[in-house]
Amino acid sequence: MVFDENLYKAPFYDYDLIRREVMNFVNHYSISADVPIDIDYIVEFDLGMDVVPLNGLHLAFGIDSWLSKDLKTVYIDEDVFKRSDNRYRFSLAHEVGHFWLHGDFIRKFDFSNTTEWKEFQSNFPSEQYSWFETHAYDFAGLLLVPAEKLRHKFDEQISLVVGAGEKVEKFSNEILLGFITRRLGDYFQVSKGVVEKRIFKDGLTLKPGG
Amino acid sequence: MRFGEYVKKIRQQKQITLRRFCLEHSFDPGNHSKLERGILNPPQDEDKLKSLAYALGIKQGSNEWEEFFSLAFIENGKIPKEIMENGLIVSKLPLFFRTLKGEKIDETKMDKLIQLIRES
Repeated sequence: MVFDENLYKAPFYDYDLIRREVMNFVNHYSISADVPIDIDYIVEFDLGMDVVPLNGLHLAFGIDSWLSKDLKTVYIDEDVFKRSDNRYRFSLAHEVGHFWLHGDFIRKFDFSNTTEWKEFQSNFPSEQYSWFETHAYDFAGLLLVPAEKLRHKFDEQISLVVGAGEKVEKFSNEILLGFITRRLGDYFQVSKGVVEKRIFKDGLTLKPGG
Repeated sequence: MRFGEYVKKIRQQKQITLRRFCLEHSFDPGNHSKLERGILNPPQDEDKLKSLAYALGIKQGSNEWEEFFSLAFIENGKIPKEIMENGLIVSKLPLFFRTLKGEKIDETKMDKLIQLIRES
């Protein structure tokens, strides 16, 4: 197989484009807006993929999951599968991101043996590789934390603080953000980090001018 | 139809994901996934087979019950396919890995990964 550097080029997807792609995905598969998003169901039933737990995947390789080249199987670390709801859900959503955003890219490559696959991996420029991963990460966050629900729950949490007789201005951004991300993380069943990034990307502000 | 395919079909007819099924019935997910994909043979132990049938909501004496046990019996006479063909392995390899740092893995790990898929 001849490797051409251009073949590895990640498509240009900014956050807004990925946001639109998530909406297209949701509409295409008529995904319910109920939270938490039932990503487990989406993968197995809407996309018809197999979820295959592999023992020691994270310990031995530092890998949580991957989508197979034939786009039919999500392999996932067995410990994540059994014990970590949020990571399990996010990993699946991340692989769905590769499926939806990078399906055409993935289909372009045809390896006839494992040597060709290894050559492909070795030649993949790290910078381009990172872009693909960033796309899938953003897709997962947008899918699991829908914008409208995020805004609504965010405002609700701010009101809770104010309603409790506390002025929002009294708290440092760090404390307020920690409180809100924990509550919203529980609600959307994602990590605090995912919520924090979604809040930031959607331009939701904790305090006037803040 | 093979036994594993049948088990998967019944589970999916009930709209239950693999994860939910394993967690609710305390089945080992790795082994159950292998069973559904025909990599592991059905349990030889009758009690274990019955537990699986009950977990799938198959009623004793029903046509499904009969089919479930017939397929298990037939399947147990076969040798499980332990090594996948090269072409199939390639189709199951990733282009991207979800790692904590979003980085690629080195060549030694790639070899081990191929081995892991071969045995999965």
